[in-house]
Amino acid sequence: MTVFKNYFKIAKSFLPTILIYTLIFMSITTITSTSGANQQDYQASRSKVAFINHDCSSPLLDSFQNYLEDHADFVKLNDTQDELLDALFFRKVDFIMIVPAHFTVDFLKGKDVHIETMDVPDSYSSIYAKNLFNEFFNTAHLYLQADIDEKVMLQQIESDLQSHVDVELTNQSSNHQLSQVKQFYNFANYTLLAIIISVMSMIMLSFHNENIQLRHLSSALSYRQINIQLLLGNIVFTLAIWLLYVMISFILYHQTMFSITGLLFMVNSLIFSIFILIFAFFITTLTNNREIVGMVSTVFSLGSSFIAGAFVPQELLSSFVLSIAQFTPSYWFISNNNLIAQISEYNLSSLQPIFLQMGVILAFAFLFYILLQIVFYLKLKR
Amino acid sequence: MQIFKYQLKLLVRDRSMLFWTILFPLILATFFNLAFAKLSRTESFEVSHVAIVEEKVNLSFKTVLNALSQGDEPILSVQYTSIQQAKDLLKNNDIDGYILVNDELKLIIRDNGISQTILQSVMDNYQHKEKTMQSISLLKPQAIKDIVVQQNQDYFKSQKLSSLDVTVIYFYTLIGMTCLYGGFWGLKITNFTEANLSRQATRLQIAPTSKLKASLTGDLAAFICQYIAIVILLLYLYFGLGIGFGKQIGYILLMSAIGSYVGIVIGHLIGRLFHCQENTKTTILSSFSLFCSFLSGMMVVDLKYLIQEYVPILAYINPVNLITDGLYALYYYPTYERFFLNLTILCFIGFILTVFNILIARRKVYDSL
Repeated sequence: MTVFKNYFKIAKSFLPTILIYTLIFMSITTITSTSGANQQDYQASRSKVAFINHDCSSPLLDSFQNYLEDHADFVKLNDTQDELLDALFFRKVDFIMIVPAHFTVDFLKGKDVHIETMDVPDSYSSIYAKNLFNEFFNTAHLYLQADIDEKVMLQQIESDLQSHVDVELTNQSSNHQLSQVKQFYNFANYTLLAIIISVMSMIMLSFHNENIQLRHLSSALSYRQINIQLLLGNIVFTLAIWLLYVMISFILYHQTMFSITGLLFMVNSLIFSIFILIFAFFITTLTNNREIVGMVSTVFSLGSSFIAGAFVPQELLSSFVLSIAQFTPSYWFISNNNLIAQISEYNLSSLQPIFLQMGVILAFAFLFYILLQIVFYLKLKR
Repeated sequence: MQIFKYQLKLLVRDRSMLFWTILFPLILATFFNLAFAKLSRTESFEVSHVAIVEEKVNLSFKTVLNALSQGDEPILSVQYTSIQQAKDLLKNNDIDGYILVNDELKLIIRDNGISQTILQSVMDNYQHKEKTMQSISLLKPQAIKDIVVQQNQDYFKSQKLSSLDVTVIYFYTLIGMTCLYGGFWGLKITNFTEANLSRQATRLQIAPTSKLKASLTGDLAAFICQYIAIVILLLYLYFGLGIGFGKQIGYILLMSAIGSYVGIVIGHLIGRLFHCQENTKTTILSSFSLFCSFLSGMMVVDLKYLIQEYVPILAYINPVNLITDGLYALYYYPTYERFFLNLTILCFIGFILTVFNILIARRKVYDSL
């Protein structure tokens, strides 16, 4: 096992770089998935609204504010142009209302008044919010026409608007943590690819030094033996990185991870790691140039993450992009994660597509394994 | 002049440098474009599809539905079906939900979502109005005939805002990152001028040229290479991918020039500060610029906002974020204050780092190499 031992000796000498890489990527992943700001929450069915009052506070506006708090998520913002603009641009808020001075008085007099808003034009959230909030004033307007006292009116509005239509949900939707775990594992496409390929190539290329290779070939060990030991070293290393990743997911999301869903996420990422292992091995046998390996690893990890949906959810990608992405195992890995997160009961028919997609990833791994053997063969022949 | 020429030659000859500073940003930009093409469109409003199952005829509700599904800006697309059809449609996701019309209204949906919420709010709206009319007829029966029930009046007036496309941030961070990649050139120049780092530098140091001259020409060469890379990227983004930049081309060029300078100086600093292999220095530099870009929202755009909100100091010392924020301010803000604030801080950072560099590099002599 000399080669195997040597592998880790070299790994040790690269320790600072390995640590930097691991630390940076792991922190990127952790920050992303825990910041709660994951982009998948387009489903939010409550608008985020901010309310800036330039009028003095009045019973009408107070009760309007109560109504807002019941029907939308309230975001507190300071009344500065910068803060309002920023919050809107980054969608921290969907709908900003600026109540002009004398609004209450004018409204009660039945004048034609308007609340100024800042919103994303033609977006769901702004149309929805507008509908919802107009209802309050429209109802008030009805009462005003009937000449009903303000106090009674506000009570009436409150009770009128409280009722809701019966809604029946046929599909019980999943918990919130699950989508975070999914995000965490989807991100693995980037993190695992980047760490494993770049570190593994650093170690492997040290073995590709011409003198060392000649020395190896002239040693008592067969070429096959050497390669098997190198592969073993790579396997141990890949498993270690994968384990680290899984461990972090357990620390962050133990509730979800201790379940069949969690197990499926683990298996799926393990299978993907196997692919990365073989892929990295393949790249490093193909070339001796560190810089080329660096380019391939960066371009492949970032590129596949973008087009296969690690950063932007798959349902938001165009079908053209996705059809390109299908040529990368990343696509199957990520769409499998999405499936796993959706699954509600565990039986053969629901698990079958998941296993099928795992099979596709393994097929990719196998394909590169064959290519690897061909390259070995050609190299040896030379 | 001769030194300048050679240094420029040395820089341009390095293939992998050319890849990282010129080609790589272009590739990334293409990926961004592929990934985000649909993203900005998903927000825009589409009508909610709903099936109506009438178990009992409710004319006034029908009128409301008609009003909402016609006109300039329809909110609903309505079809009348049997209960079985409706269930099938819902199963296939052809509709967002269906409404059972009986004495009471009932909405049946599969998942929660914004379309479903709109359906619900339409129905609530109807129910509320009915209730209001009831209460009024109880409170003031004589007034009820005077009331004109208008279709919803709009009490809100939108301010006209310029474009709100959040995906431009990704491209701005890319520009920021490319500026920092100028560090690769800076690193190279350090290698060419610090006598203990390369043979060329050793030769250069014993030649009768002043150190100032050597490093200035080096910087100039690096800056030219870097700036060409940036301009290529900007051209590609603007003409190739059609990214919006606002109209202030001059300011954008100024920003990226200063950004490039800061990038180069950071490269110098890493080259001089760390005593390790060149490879490791490159790793440090690329990890550093990647992390800065990440913090400016390159992977997750919300992060930029979160940092600005909770750790503003981090936003102000991160050069990538300063560049991103400056371009964003140009694109989105009506005034230039914020742009110039970013620009000033960036200049300041550049200045501090330059002073640092000079302090480290000056009066360095070697006994023997």
